[in-house]
Amino acid sequence: MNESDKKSIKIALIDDNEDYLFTMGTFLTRNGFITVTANNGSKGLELIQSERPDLILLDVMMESSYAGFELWKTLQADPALKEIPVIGVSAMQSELGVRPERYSDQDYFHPSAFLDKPVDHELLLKTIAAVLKAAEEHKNRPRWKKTLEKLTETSR
Amino acid sequence: MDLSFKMVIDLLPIYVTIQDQDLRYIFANQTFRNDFGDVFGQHCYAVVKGSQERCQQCPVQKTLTDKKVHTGEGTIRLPGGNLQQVVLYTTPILDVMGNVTAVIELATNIQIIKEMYKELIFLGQSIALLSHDIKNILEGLQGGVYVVDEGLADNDMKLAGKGWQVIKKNIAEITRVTQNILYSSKNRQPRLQKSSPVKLAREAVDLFQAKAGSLGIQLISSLNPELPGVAVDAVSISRLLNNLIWNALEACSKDLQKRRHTVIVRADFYDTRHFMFEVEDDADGMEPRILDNLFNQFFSTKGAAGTGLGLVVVDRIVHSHGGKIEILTKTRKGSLFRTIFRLSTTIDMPVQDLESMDALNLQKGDA
Repeated sequence: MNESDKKSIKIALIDDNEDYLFTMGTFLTRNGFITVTANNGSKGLELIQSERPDLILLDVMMESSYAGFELWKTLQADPALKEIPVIGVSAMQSELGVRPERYSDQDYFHPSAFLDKPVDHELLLKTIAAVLKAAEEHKNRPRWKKTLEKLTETSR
Repeated sequence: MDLSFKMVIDLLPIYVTIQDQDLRYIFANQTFRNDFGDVFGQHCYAVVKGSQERCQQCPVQKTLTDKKVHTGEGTIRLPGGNLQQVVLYTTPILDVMGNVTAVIELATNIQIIKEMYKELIFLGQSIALLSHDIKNILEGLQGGVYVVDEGLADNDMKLAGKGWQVIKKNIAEITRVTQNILYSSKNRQPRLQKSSPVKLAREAVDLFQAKAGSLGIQLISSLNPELPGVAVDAVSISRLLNNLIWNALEACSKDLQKRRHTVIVRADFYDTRHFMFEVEDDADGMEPRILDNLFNQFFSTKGAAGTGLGLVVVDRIVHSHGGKIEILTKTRKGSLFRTIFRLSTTIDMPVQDLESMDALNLQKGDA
């Protein structure tokens, strides 16, 4: 990912902590990303629908403990939005014992990556790069793979 | 030395009783008689439950029905009214035809274990919640520092100033959390000094204007300027007000039923000898389950946002000042926390004044 690529990358920040929206927003903007923000789950959904970001940085615990999970589920139900990669963020990851890689259930929260607060800035940039790269590869997968996925989905 | 079975059974530090088919006591060991008196012929449910009806989940009745050994857990009421958690074992006494004629019941006091168990649960929850709070604060501090650094590097003082505000807010948060932990873990004697209740309340309201504003909540104060100076521990009273206001704002921000919320902070006379602080919100009020647990350490309804220490600290401060707390709440209407203190609070308090305070009964749960 070079500087000119980053210019066009839009990240939606969804978190109920206004300070975090401001400080993380500043960090991402100063690192060349376009950022849009929302401070709760329902505003987050509206934001994603209208802005179509390239990546979502989603706090899982907002107005309720499950607001982030619910938003994620809504996104998964929408074919137009489910392809947007999500990085889950929480100050509770270790306490909640959320281990996204251990679940294949579609209903369960399994974002592209999960980061714990306080978010390490260097790790965040690396994660964003890796997640965007994987999403790009997923988007460009050969037609036969997409057809196969559709077939498996309908036969489920 | 007489070591008859009866003597051993009498001395066992557990309750041993035998009940007939009608659930009447036909035997009770000395340990049981010491606590409940002579119960021969009385119904067990009347003696240990104070009830007129048979209990629903009763291992004795199960044993009477199926002739098997049963175990269970239950609560019994001692004659003084104290409740005790017990674990029960029942075994049948059979006649020559194999019919159950009576049931032996052993009851062991497990109150201490139950209390320890409860404390362990609280402790576990508290560590998770505290850790969440602290990590969020660290995120705020780290983010604030980043913004200040960027502002300074670019000579953008406006940006640096904004970052500094974030740092200050999070320092206030870590101070509050840490002080609550410290305060709840030791019995601190209040350091009484002459203070103005109006000034203390105004400072607390000012401290939270930024938070209230960012949540879209109107935070207003109604402070009676006639209130005289009183002898209180100003640091503690500030902490009390901070906790109550913080709780009220949190309750409003979680209430999605209303679009606009108002929190009112009052300082006024309660009667001729007492003054009060009131913190009133128009959030969704509290359910009975919440009210019952209000002053339990680490009980929190705020999920990720609360450690459950705030009201424990409030309770402790009120009691260390010989004050009272009243809570008025109505579901879907709001809650009011009123703390009442003596006007004449001095270090050498006359005894009768303390007693008259006790007459102001705690009205927890008054709706």
